[in-house]
Amino acid sequence: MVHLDIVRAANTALAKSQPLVAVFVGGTSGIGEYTLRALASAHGTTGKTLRVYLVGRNAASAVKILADCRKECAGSDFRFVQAKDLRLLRDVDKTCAEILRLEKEEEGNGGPARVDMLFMSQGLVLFGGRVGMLCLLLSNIKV
Amino acid sequence: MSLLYYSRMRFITQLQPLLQASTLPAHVVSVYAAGKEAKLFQDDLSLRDPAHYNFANARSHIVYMKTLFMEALADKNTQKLSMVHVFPNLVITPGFDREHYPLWFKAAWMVAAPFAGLFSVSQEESGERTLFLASSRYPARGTTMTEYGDVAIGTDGKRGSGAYAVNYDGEVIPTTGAYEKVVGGREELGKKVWEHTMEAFAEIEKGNAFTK
Repeated sequence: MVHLDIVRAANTALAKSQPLVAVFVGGTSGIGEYTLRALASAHGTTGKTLRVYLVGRNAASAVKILADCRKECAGSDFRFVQAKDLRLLRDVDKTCAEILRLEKEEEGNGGPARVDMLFMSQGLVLFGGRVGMLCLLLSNIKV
Repeated sequence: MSLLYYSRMRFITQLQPLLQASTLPAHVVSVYAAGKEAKLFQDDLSLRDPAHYNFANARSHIVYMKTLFMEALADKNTQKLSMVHVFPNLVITPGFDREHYPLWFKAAWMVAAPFAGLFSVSQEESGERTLFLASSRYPARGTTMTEYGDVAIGTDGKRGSGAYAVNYDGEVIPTTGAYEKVVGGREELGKKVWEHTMEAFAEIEKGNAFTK
């Protein structure tokens, strides 16, 4: 197990190293949300600014999460990109095109148009996925 | 399988120009069942045959394909792109309390929930550990500097090779054994998975249904 102290030190160092552009797909709840919150928390008031694209379906949840992040990281930029049904490649393409367009507008603002980190956790809320998670867990317990 | 494989791989390929522009280099983290390779039907990768489709087989196929697709991308994006798929262990998310779940699951969860806390990962820790997967411990191929312990071993068994299967605690899950058993060899399967996925993308782009 990687010690949690190392994890936290690395996360803080990352946030302080350079301005970061991060995309969270399926970040309006669950592990995606917790990862975004961890990034905002590691950044705090001492990081080099973030630009975050939160992709998901649940606008109400996104508004709340992003408001918390803005409070924690003044001067950083948090955006919600609404998705409809990411099972469809058409919707994936639309979402990516939107991120590309928004990112091009920021060209030169803290570096080139880019994505430094892409986190994907969409789909885990499906029932199969969850029961699967339980089964996975049970299959992982070593007696 | 769409949300967990095709859709996610499409995100990577569509955002590839932006990822390549990162100076970090860029990190992709996909949360699912890393290390759960099991049955494999090479001639039915998308599990069209109803006799092949069940939850365990879908999970197995997703993991096989994701590993090999990520390895191919790592190879095409030397020094540019690191990719991790991670097994997150049990994290109690709102995903456990959905109204449409069957009654048996709700009942089982009611019984299990008080104990689940004993061996689940807290939400905060889960977030921190998932974020850590974007650290230099899991580098893009050809960039092996890290301050955070040993550089991780990639899914191909080589240190720092750019595609990683990682447990929730940050340690690499050894998966090479499953691929050694693949009939025809992992290289052939890798090619097959790449072609299958790109063909799926191309057909759907043209507005056709992908039926393979």
